[in-house]
Amino acid sequence: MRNLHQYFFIVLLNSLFLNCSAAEENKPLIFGILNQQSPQLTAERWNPIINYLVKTTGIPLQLKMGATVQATDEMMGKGEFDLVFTNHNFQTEYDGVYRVIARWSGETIYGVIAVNQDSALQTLHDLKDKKIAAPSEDAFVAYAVPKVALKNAGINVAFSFAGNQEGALAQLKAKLVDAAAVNSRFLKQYMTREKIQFREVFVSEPFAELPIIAHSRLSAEKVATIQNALLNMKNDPNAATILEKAKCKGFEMATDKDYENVRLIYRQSGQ
Amino acid sequence: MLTSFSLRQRILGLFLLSIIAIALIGVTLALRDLVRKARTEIQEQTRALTVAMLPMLNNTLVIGDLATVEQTFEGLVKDMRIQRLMLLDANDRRPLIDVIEKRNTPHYFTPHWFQSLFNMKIPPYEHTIQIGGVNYGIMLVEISTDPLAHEIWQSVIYLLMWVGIILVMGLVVLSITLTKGLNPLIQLAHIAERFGHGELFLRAPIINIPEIDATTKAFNQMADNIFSLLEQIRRSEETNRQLAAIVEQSEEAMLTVDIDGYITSWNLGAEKLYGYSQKDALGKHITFLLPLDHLPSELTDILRHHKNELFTRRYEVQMLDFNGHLLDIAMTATPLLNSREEHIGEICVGRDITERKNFEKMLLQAKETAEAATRAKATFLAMMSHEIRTPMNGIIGMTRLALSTPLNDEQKDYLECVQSSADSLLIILNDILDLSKIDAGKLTLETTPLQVNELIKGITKLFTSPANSKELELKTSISPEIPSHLLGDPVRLRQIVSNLLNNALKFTSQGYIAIHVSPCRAKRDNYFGLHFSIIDTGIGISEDKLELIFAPFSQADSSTTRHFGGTGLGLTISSRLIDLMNGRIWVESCLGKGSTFHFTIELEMLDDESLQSLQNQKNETQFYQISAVSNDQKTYRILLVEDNIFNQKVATILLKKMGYVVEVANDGLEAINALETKDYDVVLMDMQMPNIDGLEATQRIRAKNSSVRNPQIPIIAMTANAMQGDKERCLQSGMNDYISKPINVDDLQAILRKTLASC
Repeated sequence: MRNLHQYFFIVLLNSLFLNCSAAEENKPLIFGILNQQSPQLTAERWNPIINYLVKTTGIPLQLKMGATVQATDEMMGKGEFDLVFTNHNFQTEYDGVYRVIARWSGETIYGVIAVNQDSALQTLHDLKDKKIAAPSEDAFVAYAVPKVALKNAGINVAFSFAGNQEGALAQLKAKLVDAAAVNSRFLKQYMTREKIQFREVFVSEPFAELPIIAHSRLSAEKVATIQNALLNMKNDPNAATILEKAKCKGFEMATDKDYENVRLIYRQSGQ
Repeated sequence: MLTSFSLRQRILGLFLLSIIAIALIGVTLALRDLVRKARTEIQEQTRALTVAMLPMLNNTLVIGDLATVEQTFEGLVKDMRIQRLMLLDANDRRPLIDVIEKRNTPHYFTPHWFQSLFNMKIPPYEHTIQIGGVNYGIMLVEISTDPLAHEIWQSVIYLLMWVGIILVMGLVVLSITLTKGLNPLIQLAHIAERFGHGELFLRAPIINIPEIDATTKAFNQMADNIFSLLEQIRRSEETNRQLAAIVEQSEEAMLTVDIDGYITSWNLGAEKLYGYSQKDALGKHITFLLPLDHLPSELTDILRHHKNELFTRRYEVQMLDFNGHLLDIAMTATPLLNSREEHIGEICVGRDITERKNFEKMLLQAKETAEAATRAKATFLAMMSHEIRTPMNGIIGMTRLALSTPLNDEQKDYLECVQSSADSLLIILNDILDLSKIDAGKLTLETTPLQVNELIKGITKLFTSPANSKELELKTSISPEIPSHLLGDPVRLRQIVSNLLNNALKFTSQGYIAIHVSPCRAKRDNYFGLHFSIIDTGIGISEDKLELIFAPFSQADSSTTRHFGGTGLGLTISSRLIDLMNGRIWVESCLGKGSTFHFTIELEMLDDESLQSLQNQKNETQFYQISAVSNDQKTYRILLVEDNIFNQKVATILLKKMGYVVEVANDGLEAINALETKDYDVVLMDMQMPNIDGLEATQRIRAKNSSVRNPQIPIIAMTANAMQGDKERCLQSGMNDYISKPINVDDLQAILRKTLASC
C-alpha cells in the first residue's frame, strides 16, 4: 500500500515535471524587434513573418518590443528575447550572449547627414556648432556612425533626438534643425514619399543590414531550424506575399564577422 | 350631439383638437427623426472614436502595456458619452480590461415609456484588434443613451410647453375674434327676425369685417328687394283693384273666356247688355249667347282655330240677350296672356251697335234707291243723247252740205247761224252726256300711248286762229324732261286742255295765253306726274268765287254765262276727269289781271319694250299714211249700213265728196246680202238698226261659216251710241274701228284713210 502511495506520488511528480517540461516546451520563444518604426507598424511587418516561421518550424514564437529603443534594449539586457532583430548586440556588454544567424536581405546602408536643398551648409566642416537631429542615442547608422565621423573630424555639433528617423527628417523639413542624421535607405524612402529633396553633406562607409541574432541559451537544433526557415523564405512561394507586404527581399546567411565594422564603431563611440 | 354646441364652442373645440393633433403628430414625427439622426450620429461617433483610438491602442497592445490601455479607457469614459469600454481576449473573450462609467445618472430622469417609445438603446460597438494577422483583443464600446433620451425628453417638455402657451394664446385670440365677429352676426339675426316681423325699414350696420359685411350687404340688399317687391305688389294690387273696379263698373260689356271658350269673367256692362247676371253667365260656353242659326260664328272660329294667334281682332256678331232679342255687337277680342306669356283665353269687349246697324241699313236702302234713280237718269240721258244726236247729225250734216251749195248771202248767213247753233247744242249735249257718265260712274279712261308734246301742239294749232282773231298771243312751253311717250287717255286729256284754253280765250280780251307743261312727283310707282298750267291775262276771278268754279253748273258769276256763254259744265267735267287721272286742279287768280289754272295728272310710263314696239308701230303708220296718199288715185267702194234716211243722205254725200263710191244698206241683213254678192273695200256700220243690228251683222260677217265674199273686210262702226263701252262692244264683235255721230268730216276722212291703208 505504501508502495502504491509512493507510486502515485512518483507518478504525480512525474506528471507535474512533465507538465512543467511540456509547459516550458509550449512557451513561445520571444522574438524582439528593435524600434525602427512604431510598435504597430513593426507588428504589421513582423507578425506575418513570425507567423510564417511558427507554421514552418512548429516552434511557437511571439513578437515583443518596448515602447522605445531604450525599453527594448532594456528588455534585451534582461535577457527577455530569444531571438532579436537588432545590431545593438555588438556593444561590448552583449559580447558572447548572442550570435548572428541571418540578416535582412538587401543592399548595404550608409549613415547620412542631410541638409535642406537650399541650405548654405556644404561640407561636414560646415556643420560645426550646428544643430543636428538624430533618431536617438541608441541609433547606430543614424547616430553612432555620424557621431563618430564628426568626432574623428573634430567637429562639435549639438544633437537633437527626435525619437526616430521620421521625426528627425520632419524636424529638418520644418527647419527646426540645420541637418538630420539618418540612414541612406530611409532618407530615400522619405524623399520619395514626401516629394522633397535633401542634400547629403556626409555619407559613411557601408554597413550591412540588421542581423537576426539568437540567444546562446537556445538549442543549436532550434536555432538551425529557425535559421533554415528564415533563409528559405525567399525561395518559398508561400512566403512571397508576406515578404512583399513587409517590403523584404528575404533573409540571407550572415555571421558575426560581417558586423566587425559595427562593433568597431561602437568601440570608438565608447559603447 | 354636435348641434348642442354653439358655433363658438365648435370652432374653439376644433381649433384645440387640431392644434393638439398637429402638435402631437409634429412632435412625434420630429422626435422620431431626431432620435434616428441622434442614434446614427452616436453610432458614427463611436465608430470614429474607436478608429481614432486604434493607433494608440495598437501600439500599446503590441507592446503589451494593458495598464496604459486601461488608463486611456478610463479617460475616455469620463469625457465622452461612453458608458463602458472593454477589451476582451481575442481567443476566449475573457475581459482583459473593463471600464464602466461610474457616475451613473440619477439626475438624467427620462421615463421608461418615453425611452421605449423611441427605441433608444444602442447595441455596444465591437471591434477586433488585429495587427499583422495576430489578434490582440476585442474592443467593446457601450454607449449610454441616457443623456440623449434626457435631452430629447427635455426638448419634448420644452416643445409641449410652447405648444401649450401658443394654444392658450390662440384660444384667447380666437375667442376674442369670434366674439367680435359673431356679435354682428347675432345682431344681424336679430335684425332679420325683426324685419321678418314687419319692421321693413330696419337695415344692418356695416362693421368693417369683410365677411360679415358681405353678409350684411347681402341682407340689406335682400331687404331692399323685399321692400321694393312688397311696394310693387301693393301698387300692383291697388292698380288691379282699380282696374277690376273699372272693368266691373264699365258700361262696356266685358267678358273673358278661357282657351276653350268658357266664360271666366262677366262685368256689369255685360249684365246690362246681355241681361244675364254674372252668376248665370260664369262657366258657360260663349256660344250660349249666339243665335242657333249663327253657329258657328266668327267668334267660335276665333276660339277654335286661332288659339295660337296673338293679336286683337275686331268683328261684328249677332248675339241673343236674356230676352231673346237679337243684338248687333261690335266685338273686340284680345288674347289673354298669363304671366308666362301663355295664351289662356280671350278678353271680349262687346258694344251694342244695333241702332247703328239699323241706321246703316236705312242708309244703304236710301243709297240703293238714289243709285237706281241715278242709273235711270243716266240711261235716260244716254237714250236722249242718242235720240237727239241722230237728228242733230242730220241737221249738222245737212247744214254743212247746204253751205257747200251756191247760196245768196242771206241764205248763207241763216245757214251759218243754224250750224253755229247746232254746234253749240252738240257741245252742250256732249257735256251733259259726259257729266251723266261721270256721275253714273260709267266713265272710264282709255290707256293708249300718247305724246304729250304732239297733243299740245295739235290743240295749240286749233286755238291759233281764234287767238289771232282776238289779237292774243298763244305761248307754249313743254319741259324736255317729259318722256316722249306715255300711256293715258289722249281724248280726255285733250278735252281738259281744250276746255281750259277755251275758258282762257273766252275771258281774255288782250295780252296772252300760255300753256306750260312740267314734270311733277307721281304718287304711284311707274307713273309720271305732269303739271299743266294755263295762264291768261283775262278778267280774273274774285277770291270768293274761286271755290265755286269747279262745282257743276257754276260760273264765277251767273252773268258770265249770259255774257260769255257756255254751260258752266266744262270745269266740272275737267275736274272729274283730273280726279280720274289721279290728279287735282286748282286756280290762282287776280281779279282784273288774269288767272292761272293748274292741274296735275299721272300717266303710266312705258317700259323699253313697249316703247320700241310703239316706235315700230309709228313707222308703220307713217308708211300707211304715205301709202294711202299714194293710192289716193284708186276708187274705193264703201258699203254704208244706216237705217236713218237723213244720215244715209249726209254720209253718202260726204263720202262721195271725198271721192269714194258709196252703196247703202238699210240694216244688217241687207248689208250681209250685199257683201255676199259684191266686193267692197270697207263697211261703215251703224249700231242700232232694225232686223239685224250692227253688232250681230259684224259677228255674222266674221263667223267661220260666213257666206260673205270677204269675211275680213274692214268694218268701221258709226254710231250715235256715245256711251262708254260702245266702242269696246264694237271691237269685240269684230269691227276694226269706231267713229261717233254726229260725224266729223275730218275724223271720218282720217279713219277711212288709216283703214284703207292697212288693207
